[in-house]
Amino acid sequence: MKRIKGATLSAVFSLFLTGVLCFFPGRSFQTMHHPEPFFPSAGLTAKHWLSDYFPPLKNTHGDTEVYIFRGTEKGGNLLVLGGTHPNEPAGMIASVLLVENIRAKRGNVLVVPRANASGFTHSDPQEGNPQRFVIPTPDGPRPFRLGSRLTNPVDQWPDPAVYLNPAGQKLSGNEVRNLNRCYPGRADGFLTERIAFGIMELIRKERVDIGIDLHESAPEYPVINAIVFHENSSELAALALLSLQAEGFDIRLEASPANLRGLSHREWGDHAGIKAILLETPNASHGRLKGKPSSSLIVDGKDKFYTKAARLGWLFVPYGEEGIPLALRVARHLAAIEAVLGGLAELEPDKAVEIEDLPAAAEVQKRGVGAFLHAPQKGG
Amino acid sequence: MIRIFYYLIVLYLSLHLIWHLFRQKKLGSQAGTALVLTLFLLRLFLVK
Repeated sequence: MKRIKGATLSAVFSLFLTGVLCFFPGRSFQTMHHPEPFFPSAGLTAKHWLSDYFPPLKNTHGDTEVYIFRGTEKGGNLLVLGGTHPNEPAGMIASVLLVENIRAKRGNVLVVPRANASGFTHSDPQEGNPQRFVIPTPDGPRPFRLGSRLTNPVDQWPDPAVYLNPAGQKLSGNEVRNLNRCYPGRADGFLTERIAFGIMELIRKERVDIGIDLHESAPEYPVINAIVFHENSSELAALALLSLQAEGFDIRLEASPANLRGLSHREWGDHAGIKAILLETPNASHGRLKGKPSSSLIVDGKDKFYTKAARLGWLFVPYGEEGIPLALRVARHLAAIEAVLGGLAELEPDKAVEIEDLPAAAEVQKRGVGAFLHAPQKGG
Repeated sequence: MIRIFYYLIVLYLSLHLIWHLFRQKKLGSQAGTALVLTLFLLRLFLVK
């Protein structure tokens, strides 16, 4: 038998080492394609998919769950969207809290926690963001994916140099993968445009009266702690503002600019005629001034650089040493949803939506988000 | 279609690196090739 030379043996060993080096990050990477489960409350009446409203999305990474809570009394139809930007966790977590807790008493509530499901399957390059953040619950830690603002380039590639969106606005090329620049969508367009079109179809087919899109933004960004409203919702937004300020939340109103096209708060109102609201909370992990990105930065929201930036007057929100934790950001979203529904009941009683078991903002702040989440899956 | 081209290009380069790995006599050169090969194989499986 021919003797294997030392160099060949070491080459085989190097190849084996390569296999080991590929296996562990590869396995970790592939888990990003497995969405974490949600555990709907007993009030759930149906779970649909976006492809049920727009079939071309079936078997694509753009398809996503639509949780439906139908009330026993006649009323309006509310759509809540989380995860339009998967790197803005408070929006997704607030919608998960709805899915796992509420019961519709009057009207119907439709919740889409992962509006851009493809964006949850990857991370923003060069940001060093964690793949997941972990929320402590009474039954143990529950992990959630932190995704990217944009659709995964594996699902939609290449980007054009300049993007002309369906509403006719010219944008930089990568905005072609930003769901909140692609409304009202195109039935035969890029994947992100098809997702936007699917959401418009959902709005039309379910006869949605009011849509709320949950977001977060960096503390140095001017549109923050804000209700952004379409002009058809100005009274509603003003009533919600008064209600939130009475509850002690510092919040401002931002009118949706008529010349900024492709965004939910503009196109939902213009093309579907519904009341369109977008909510923003401050998220340090999203900003440019943050320190090391980590799960605790997302959940606890403490960052010494943002605290210093606030002292220097560089931010649009106060940012103390206690930070702005996820519990407060989610509580703001939930309080705003409640305030908007209160305003709707006042302005258009026939379209009122009443939700039972909605986690109270004060309780979420006091007990934490985890107190309102289902126990983590065993072994998950 | 473009994805198949992508796979074929990365597969070709990966095989080329494996061939190169077995031609190296020095351990250091083999280790360097293995490191580059790791990145190509991760790419092959769409791992960034």
